[in-house]
Amino acid sequence: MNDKWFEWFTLGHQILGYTIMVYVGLSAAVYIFMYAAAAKSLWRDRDLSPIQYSTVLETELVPPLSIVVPAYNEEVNIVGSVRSLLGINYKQFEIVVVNDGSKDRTAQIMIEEFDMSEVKGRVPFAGLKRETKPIRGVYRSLRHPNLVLVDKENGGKADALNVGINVSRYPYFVSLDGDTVLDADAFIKVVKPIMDARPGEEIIATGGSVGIANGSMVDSGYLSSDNVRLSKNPIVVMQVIEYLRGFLMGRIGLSRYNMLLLISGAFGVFNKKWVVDVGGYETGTIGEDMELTVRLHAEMRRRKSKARIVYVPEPVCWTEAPESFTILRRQRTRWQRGLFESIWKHKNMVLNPRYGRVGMLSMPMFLFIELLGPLVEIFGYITVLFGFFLDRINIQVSLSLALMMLLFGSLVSAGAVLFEEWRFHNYNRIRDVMKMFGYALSESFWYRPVLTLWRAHGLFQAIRGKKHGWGEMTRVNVLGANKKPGIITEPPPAATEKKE
Amino acid sequence: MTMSDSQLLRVLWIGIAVIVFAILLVLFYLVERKVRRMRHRQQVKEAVELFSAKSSALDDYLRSGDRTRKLNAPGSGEGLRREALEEALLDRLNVGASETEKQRIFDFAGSYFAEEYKYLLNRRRWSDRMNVLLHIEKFHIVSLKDQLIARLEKLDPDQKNDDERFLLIRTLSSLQIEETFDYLELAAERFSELQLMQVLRPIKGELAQRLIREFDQLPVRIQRCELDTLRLGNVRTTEVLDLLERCMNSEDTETRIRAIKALANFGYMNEAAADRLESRMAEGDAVIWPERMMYARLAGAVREERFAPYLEQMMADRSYEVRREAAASLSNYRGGLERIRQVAENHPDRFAKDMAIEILERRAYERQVV
Repeated sequence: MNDKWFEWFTLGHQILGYTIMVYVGLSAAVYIFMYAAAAKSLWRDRDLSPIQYSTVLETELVPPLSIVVPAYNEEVNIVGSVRSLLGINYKQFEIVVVNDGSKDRTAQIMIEEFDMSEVKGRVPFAGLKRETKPIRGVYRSLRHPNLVLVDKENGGKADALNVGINVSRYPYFVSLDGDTVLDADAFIKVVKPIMDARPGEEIIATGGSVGIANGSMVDSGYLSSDNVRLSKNPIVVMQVIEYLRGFLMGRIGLSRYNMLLLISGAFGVFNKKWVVDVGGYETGTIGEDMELTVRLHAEMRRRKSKARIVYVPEPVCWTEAPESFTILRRQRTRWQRGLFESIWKHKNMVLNPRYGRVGMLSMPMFLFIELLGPLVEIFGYITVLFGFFLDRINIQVSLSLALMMLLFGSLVSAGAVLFEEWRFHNYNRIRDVMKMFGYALSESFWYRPVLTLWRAHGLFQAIRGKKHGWGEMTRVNVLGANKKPGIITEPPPAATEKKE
Repeated sequence: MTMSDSQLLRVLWIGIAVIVFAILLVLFYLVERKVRRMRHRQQVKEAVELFSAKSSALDDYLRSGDRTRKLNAPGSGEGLRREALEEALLDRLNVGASETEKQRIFDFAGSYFAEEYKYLLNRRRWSDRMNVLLHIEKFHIVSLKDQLIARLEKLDPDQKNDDERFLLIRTLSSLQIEETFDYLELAAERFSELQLMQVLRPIKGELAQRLIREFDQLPVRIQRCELDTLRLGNVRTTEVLDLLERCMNSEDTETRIRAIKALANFGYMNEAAADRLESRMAEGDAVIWPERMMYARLAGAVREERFAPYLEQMMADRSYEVRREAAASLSNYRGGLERIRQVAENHPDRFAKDMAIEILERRAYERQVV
């Protein structure tokens, strides 16, 4: 009887082991594919001269943009942020600041500082069907006719964005986080695909890379590539690598095949008509940026449209990354919950051929690699442990395999550092590069396991339906928690079975 | 499973060795590339400084047009020297060189870079070709015309990415090369409006006149963009005025709207066109709102008394943009502000009232600031 039980157990263990091996093999294949796609594109564009932008920037031949800035309790920063936006290197734009029912003097300060006067007739025109919280008033600056303030009742970031969309004038709007530091040429960079779209080809949304600002020198709200420095904090350096990998490797490949599932909330340009047609931002979710992008994809498939969602590899904005484990942990569990929500809400798309590549490839990728990856990884560790326990594992073989997978992960990260050098070379001191490279190699041994645990934790929270933390929507942006670096993490180290 | 543990182990270790080797390779390449590029940048920077220093040979030449002193740069290698010169010249162009200085820069660049650019134009590396095109455009190197056209002809028509094609055609037009016209058809098929305008905008002189003369033969997308281009370029000739007035009656709504917008910018039109404007304004809601808005703008630009009642009417338009435009236009009229005040007090429509108040406030503020 006992033997029987033991046999079942070993069989189960064996099956689990094989499953994990297949999983690892598949995800490694996905990485190699993305790696190749990114390498091809970046290799082509390497060392492209920045004067490609200056020629266009001098002209007024740019599509006008409505920049929507949601603000909640931002009385300290808002004037500075708006000032730096007013000075952007771009010819045609309006700024729509949406005060999301702040409890401080955000609205009053704006009104006083920019000589704003109330505009009565400016009713919402975009025709967004979704209900929004009531607007208390719309103001326009007398000094800067392209600056508008909407004062509304509190409803969270998504609701504020929806109101901003409704009030905006131009066919494309930019969604921006209050604390995002922009690259000096951010707008022209992300708008370029829209400018270059062929007749009949619609660009629904574009976004660029998000970099990490910690350690760099921000000059009056902007960060240009000359001023980028690498932080001294190991956690931040790890995140720099993570962001590089996520953006440069993950998104280039996805964008090429029009499978991009996420335009970062930190900075993205959207086609207003499309966003209005799909009903704007979903309120009450964490990952409203991803949720919207997925919904846009679904709509594209439904209409059989040739429209595209495009990613521009260029770094367009910079964000403050968490510097301590506590805050990083909060951020990551939050992201994982947001990811769960977005996928759960659109679970009918996963492996659904009706949704084309997005349904068959990118949704499953997000589900199996990004969302469930941490779980599989932990299962992997457990399988190995049980293997020892059951004496079914050849220690040498499993350790070697684990080492190989770890090194593979490090190679992927090192590749991301190389890609950065090809295309942008923002980190110019050899010391910085060596440091990044060194950390990239060490990642698998400390940073990654910790993250795996947190992400698994976040997944459990999401499944248990932990509501608090996103129900209240008090802070529009919790420490940059709305910026996801992308979907690529490394494949988990694997467990192996003793072969007989 | 037939593989024994030791065999498996061997495979794994080979895998590990390959990965370690790859990592080392990446590291080596990365550092080497970084060091090389930074040394190169440093040298270029130094050379640029030398070139742009006061009373350097380059500076001398640009001031006097006298190219007797030899241009010497530290370091060796033509590539470096070219890059440094390019940068020094571009800097000079960017800080606003005078016309003669610009011409000297173009002459100099033409004689100095043409040979190398000719070679770079056909390089296999895509970013090299793009970079050299950008420089040819900036430096107006007209002598490369045949190479540019040859390159354009060589491009695969089925190619998905049009970046290079676009840049080639834009370069042709910036260099005022007549053959640009041969590619307008292709451009209209493949390029976005903003790209078309980038092609049309730099066209000047005789070629610009030809665009207007042959306007009706141009593809309709080019026509629309040309109207915008004329507006942005502030071209004010009788030929252009004729064209705009003609396009005001176009069948194509887009063409019409852009013609009116350009006319508003022009600020003048003949009697027949004014009659036409009046009859269109009288149609009210039968016209789509962007067109109504442009009529309001045009009426504000020409300021003929007979439009004022229509503008007043438009202040109660369904669309905010039209109301705002109408109010702004009316405020330009003689006695316009008084009229708007009347609207603010007496108009039955709430939206018209609100708009009147808004515009009065704005004008009051402007007076106070100015």
